[in-house]
Amino acid sequence: MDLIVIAGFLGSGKTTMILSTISRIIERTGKKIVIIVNDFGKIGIDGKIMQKYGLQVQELASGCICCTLGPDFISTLKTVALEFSPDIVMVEPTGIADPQAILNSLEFYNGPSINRRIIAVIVDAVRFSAIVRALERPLKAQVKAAGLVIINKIDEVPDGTVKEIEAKIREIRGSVPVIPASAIEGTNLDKVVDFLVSAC
Amino acid sequence: MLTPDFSAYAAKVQITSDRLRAGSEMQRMIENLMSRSVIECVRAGASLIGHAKCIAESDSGHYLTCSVTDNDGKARCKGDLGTSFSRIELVINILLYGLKRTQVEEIFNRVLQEEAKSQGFSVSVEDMEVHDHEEDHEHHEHEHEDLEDNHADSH
Repeated sequence: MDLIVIAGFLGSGKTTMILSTISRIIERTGKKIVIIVNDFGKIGIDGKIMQKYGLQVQELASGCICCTLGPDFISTLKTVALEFSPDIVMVEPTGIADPQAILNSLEFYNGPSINRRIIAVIVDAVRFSAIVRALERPLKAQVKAAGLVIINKIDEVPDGTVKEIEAKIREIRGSVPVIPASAIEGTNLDKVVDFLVSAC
Repeated sequence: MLTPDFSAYAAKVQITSDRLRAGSEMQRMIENLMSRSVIECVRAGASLIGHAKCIAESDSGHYLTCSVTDNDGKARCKGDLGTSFSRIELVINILLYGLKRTQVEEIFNRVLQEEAKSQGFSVSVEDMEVHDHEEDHEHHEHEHEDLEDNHADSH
């Protein structure tokens, strides 16, 4: 099975991106997808939303799967793999997670084999500069771990802002693929799906 | 992005009315509740709003989700609560930087009571305990060196 991590800061649009792309991925590939959602709050909201859309979801709440819930994540991943035999497991960590730490935790995974591992990091075009000012180091860590960066909410900012954000991302990691998109408007989601599907 | 000034507040709220109410009335209240809570958190010193989000489910099976990510408090909502109901369950998470969880709790509860009173609803709040990073354990660089220990402990 393949593992896709959809990471990104709080409120960057991870859940919306998953909801907007998953049906296209299924339609394109016919693959079976299970989602593991990690919400920092004691009651997961994102998982509830996804279940309302009819998706197969396993929730991990009350912490972060990159540290305190790490063993729970590994255990859940193994259970999902054995119980559902998915072709793809899509993971939405909490927005404060370090995605590289999630991949590193797979060292302790001993379930059915994982073929490909992709980290897609969503950056919020509207709040990018504020997040860089407040949390530059962890934001850089997210981008450095990414196999794909999606600049989301481009419908809410001028084109010039998107270009500035892309330039900043290139300073951090020059070679990473970058797709400007809008999960709400559907802009460039086919490109996002193309990337995720071709990588799996 | 877990820093000493990060805090997470979660609550489950039961909202009831002694008469059937239109879904649009409740949606307005929820939008005001989310928006005002964020604005007042910013006024109280929150340096960065992570995400304030909620899901409201009516006893008629309808649901509404709302999200605030900006300091201006603009609430974006999807769904609807149906045409009439007498009870709503609302789950809310507020994740931000620059205020303690207890401050967020105080602000949210005050705004909730004000909005409920002005709209004629009754509310009861169940505070879902979420660990406050600052209060529950020492700050560390969140470099995840503890994961191996956690894994060993659980197996």
